[in-house]
Amino acid sequence: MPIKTMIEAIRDALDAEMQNDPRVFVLGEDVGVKGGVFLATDGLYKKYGMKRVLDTPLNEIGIAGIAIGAAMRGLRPVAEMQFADYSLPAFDQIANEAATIRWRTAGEFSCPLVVRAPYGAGVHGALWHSQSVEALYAHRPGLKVVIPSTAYDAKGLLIAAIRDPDPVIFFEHKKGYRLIKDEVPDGDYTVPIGKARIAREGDAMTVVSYGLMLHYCLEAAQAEGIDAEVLDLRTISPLDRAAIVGSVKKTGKCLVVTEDTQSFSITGEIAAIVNEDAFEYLDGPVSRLATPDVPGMPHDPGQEEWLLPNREKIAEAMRKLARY
Amino acid sequence: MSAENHISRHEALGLHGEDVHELYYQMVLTRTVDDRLWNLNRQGKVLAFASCLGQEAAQVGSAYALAPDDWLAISYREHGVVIARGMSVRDIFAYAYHRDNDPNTRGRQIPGHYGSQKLHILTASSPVGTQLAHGVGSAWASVYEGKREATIIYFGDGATSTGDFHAAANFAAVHKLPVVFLCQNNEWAISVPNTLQYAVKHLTERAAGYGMMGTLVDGLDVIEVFGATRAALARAYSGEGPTFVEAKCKRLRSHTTEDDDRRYRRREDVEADRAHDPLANLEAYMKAASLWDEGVARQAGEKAAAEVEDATQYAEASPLPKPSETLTHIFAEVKTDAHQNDD
Ligand SMILES: Cc1ncc(C[n+]2csc(CCOP(=O)(O)OP(=O)(O)O)c2C)c(N)n1
Ligand SMILES: [Mg+2]
Repeated sequence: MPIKTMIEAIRDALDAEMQNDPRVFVLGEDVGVKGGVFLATDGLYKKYGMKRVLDTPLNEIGIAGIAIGAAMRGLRPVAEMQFADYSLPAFDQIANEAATIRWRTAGEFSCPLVVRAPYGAGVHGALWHSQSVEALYAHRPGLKVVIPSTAYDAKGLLIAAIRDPDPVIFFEHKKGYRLIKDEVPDGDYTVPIGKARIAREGDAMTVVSYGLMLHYCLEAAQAEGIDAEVLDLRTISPLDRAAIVGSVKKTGKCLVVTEDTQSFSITGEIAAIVNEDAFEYLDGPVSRLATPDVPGMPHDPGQEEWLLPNREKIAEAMRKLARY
Repeated sequence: MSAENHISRHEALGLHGEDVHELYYQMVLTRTVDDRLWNLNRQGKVLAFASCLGQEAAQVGSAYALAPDDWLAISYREHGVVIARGMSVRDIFAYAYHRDNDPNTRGRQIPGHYGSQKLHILTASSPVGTQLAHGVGSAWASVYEGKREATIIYFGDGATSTGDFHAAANFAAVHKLPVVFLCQNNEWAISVPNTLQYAVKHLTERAAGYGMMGTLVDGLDVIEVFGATRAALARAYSGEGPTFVEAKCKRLRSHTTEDDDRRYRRREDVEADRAHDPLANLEAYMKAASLWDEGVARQAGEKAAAEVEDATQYAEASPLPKPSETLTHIFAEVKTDAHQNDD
């Protein structure tokens, strides 16, 4: 099976679905002739033309709102936000409109929209090219939020997202675009939304993570020789509650790792779920490791590196929980 | 204007006497619905709603120009639009009463936020301006699929200040999309007057800034609104792009049932505005055009009253949704009831 990078897998997914379904079109800033600032849509403009790979004016409200209107009319728009940080101007359209359309019409209308956006730090992008904003969207009922950690999942989940009859927010770690590579089948296949994956089996503790951090968790478990079970959420919302609870019941301990800033991040939601459904099985407090509550990512690589969770910090958190 | 002029105005647009009578009836019906909903609110039966009193000509005249295949993106005030589009008064009242047989929303939205696949009305919402982008997306979908359809977008003067308005107008103009931007300028955004909303004399001046056509119409004159909308639609169908139509009208009631305009409008100004009544205007036109007799007025009034009475009784007799119904239709997968309409 061919080895592909995550960005190639995403491009594959878009190409496959555009081939399969004439209703699928891509829109966003610089997605056309240039192929996107990270080249996620490279080659698609040549192949499918400007109507299906549309360079929009610089206005995120418009990208999201126009995509929502087209989705209500039965098209399958895949809107690209150039950076997750810049999805916030479109937050109203996504959170107040896309999320509510099926519910507020009691099923008469739906909004089969995908919003893709690169997220995450570690690339010296500073305040506005580094953010993790999944918690903002995950808090909103009516939206699905997906974050793949492998190239295989990126392709399968993106195809599933495009076929999903409801709005899906799809975050891709920009540092992972070329760093993450694994086997990706040709042709189309789906990975189900809402299902977590056990990335590493173990008995000593459950480490819950997603996106790029998932890899650091795996590396830390390997390096420390800790028998940790590493759970890759893949979908942030709706959370795979059964997978989280099942694993914690087996291991008795839980560490949640996210690159997002800590307060009100999804780490708190997972701690609450474990508390509700696996309290009697716990041999220690649910622990969490996240970026400290700083309103921006510093541009200086030294400060950035110091701030972010990494293998060493994850290993330390694992050791601490193991000792408990 | 002389009688001949009046006659030539509707006839010049290809409208017959029956059309004028139909426009009149739809405006009377709109007003009757509006009055009843307002009264029902005061009786505590309809929890909230935004009246369209004073805007009947702008709404009915523009919607009357649409073809069945055209699409509509609307705000929360468009009762006359949906009536002209063919929504039954029963459905309007079932909605206002939060009933389970309402095809719009079944108790979820505030009354007036209509949406209907059958009538090609995209679901409305409260956030001011968002429907502008949806309407442009709808027009994009029509062009994408090679369909000869236009989308008309209804919005107020306040909405022209939103980012959504700018996004929508610019995109529609860049791609010459089949859109009619129908702005009902009722001079107020709740309590904020036009003078604090924008600095141009007429909002149509904005159109040139987007590279689109702008048309100013008297929103109290149903024939003029009809003509301007039809011309805009003709441009849309023939690929000439979007048109911004500004219909100047008056808001003859408070912003909504929840607002009290005595806090910000002088009574003498409100009284003066009442003279600008689109129904009285049409009545005068019909008299001059020999389309009026007391029978027409009486019949229209009686028919509308009967429809509204029937719809009120229908709604009152209809069942409410089960409260737990509110947990349904969040995503497609959860199939919990017979109303599910999934892909
Ligand atoms: C984004 C947003 N801000 C504020 C409000 C509260 N609000 C509801 S209607 C309204 C005024 C709208 O004025 P206009 O666009 O002229 O429409 P009209 O109500 O006059 O028909 C405001 C401020 C809202 N619904 N949405
Ligand atoms: Mg207004």
